[in-house]
Amino acid sequence: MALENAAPRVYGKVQERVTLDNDFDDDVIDPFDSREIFDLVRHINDPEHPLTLEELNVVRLDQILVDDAQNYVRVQFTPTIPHCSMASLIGLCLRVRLLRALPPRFKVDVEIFPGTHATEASINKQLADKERVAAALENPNLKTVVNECLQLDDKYLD
Amino acid sequence: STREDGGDGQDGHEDRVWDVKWSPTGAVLASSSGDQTVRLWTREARDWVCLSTLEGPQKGTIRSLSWGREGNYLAAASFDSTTCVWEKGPSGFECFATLEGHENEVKGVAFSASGDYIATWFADEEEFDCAAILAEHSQDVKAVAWHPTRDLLASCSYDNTIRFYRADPDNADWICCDTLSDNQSTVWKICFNADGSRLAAVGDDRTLRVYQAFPPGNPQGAALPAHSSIYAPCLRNTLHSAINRLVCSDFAGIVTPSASDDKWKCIATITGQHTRPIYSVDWDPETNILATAGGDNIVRLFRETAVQPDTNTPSYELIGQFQAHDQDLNGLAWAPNQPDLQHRLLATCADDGLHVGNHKS
Repeated sequence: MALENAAPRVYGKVQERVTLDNDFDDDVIDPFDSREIFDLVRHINDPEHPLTLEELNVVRLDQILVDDAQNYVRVQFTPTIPHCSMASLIGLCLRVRLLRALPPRFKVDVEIFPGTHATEASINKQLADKERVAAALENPNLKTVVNECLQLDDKYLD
Repeated sequence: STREDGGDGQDGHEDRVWDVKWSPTGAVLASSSGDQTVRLWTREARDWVCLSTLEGPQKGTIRSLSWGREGNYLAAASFDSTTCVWEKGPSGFECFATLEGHENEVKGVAFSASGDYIATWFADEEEFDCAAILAEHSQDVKAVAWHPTRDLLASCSYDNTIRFYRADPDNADWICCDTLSDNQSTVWKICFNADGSRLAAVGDDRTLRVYQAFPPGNPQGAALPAHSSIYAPCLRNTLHSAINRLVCSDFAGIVTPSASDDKWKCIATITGQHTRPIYSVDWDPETNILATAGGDNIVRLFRETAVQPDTNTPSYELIGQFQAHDQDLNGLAWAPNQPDLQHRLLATCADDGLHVGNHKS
């Protein structure tokens, strides 16, 4: 099958997070910040291209909102083209990644960045439906696809 | 992952708890979970203990439960596309029938008041398949509820509407007799009050709406719908397959048609309380108190106040709110047959387990 967007623009990656002495001090409480959320999602593989969501600029640091005190995380993402048929799947991968990685106290919204997809409202509605997300993850084929997207490339592993 | 009053939770579900339902006498509480089991709970002194765990036939999340026939049957709807009917036997509940026929997840189940019908509802297919999303609007049904005294069925959906269905005696079929389109987004749950004159609905738009049935020729002058001939093929097939299977299993169903169709009108809209989607609502049959809960972890209780003489509609006031869980609440149920009107027993289930608590009314 022909790719919808055969030659996507590839973007650079951010530098690794600079670690501070405080980060290793167990007595210091580190609240979640947007960079930490970004690090959780930027290595997710695109379903179509051998590139990460960061390299395709689908997820961006400045489109992540974190309010640790209010237990709230919002990740907006930008499909590479406004008719991208993979947008729901990408959103599902983001939601599953955060579901698995974040403490359960967090309420998470995953949304299309406003104005960047033709069926933005319908995709947002799907992604917000916890029953559909739960049912999707009991579909063996879909679960396999999601897990492949979430599989970390060896180069990101320590 | 289970918390009960005084219980240690060792028999709790191993995954998110999706539904809780009391048996008609209030003696047994059933819960269903993503761990593919149904658990039955009963009170021993101050503790709630797990009587038994029903598992085996269903290989997916058990999304919804319904008691039928004086508590002798319990139906469980699963994402694996089956509905299992458990029957009370001398040595506990046994799998009595497995209703198949749905192609996708079954998301709701309800026994009718007469016990003659089971309505189940299911998802549209391949919900996260991108091709399907672009092709057409999806319309999975989130919940179904039978009228407490009549064979009138209500359903609510991802398509933002609530629909009513009844048997059509002329065609020996079921027709959609009313459609409510007040909701701005998915309607997650609907619930009739004790006498069936009102219906409460909650959903993704974080709003509680109360509807009232106005009979034909009512003095309030609500317009009556023309008799709709819109068929609901999904429902029809579903009901028929359920009825066929049940008739084969000695549940002889007798259709009791409504003499005429009521017109349901929204008489109260309560917004600005819940800050996340509302997933569940239940009407206490004794006190008429409405309990709502959802994604903001908080249970809210509403009571009807005086009816406004100019509009002939009631208003509702918030009489209590509390955080029973630390994660999304998926379901709640008032216990029936609780004579103490001052202390009401409410079961809640959530992503982090199950809870039974007393609440002052």
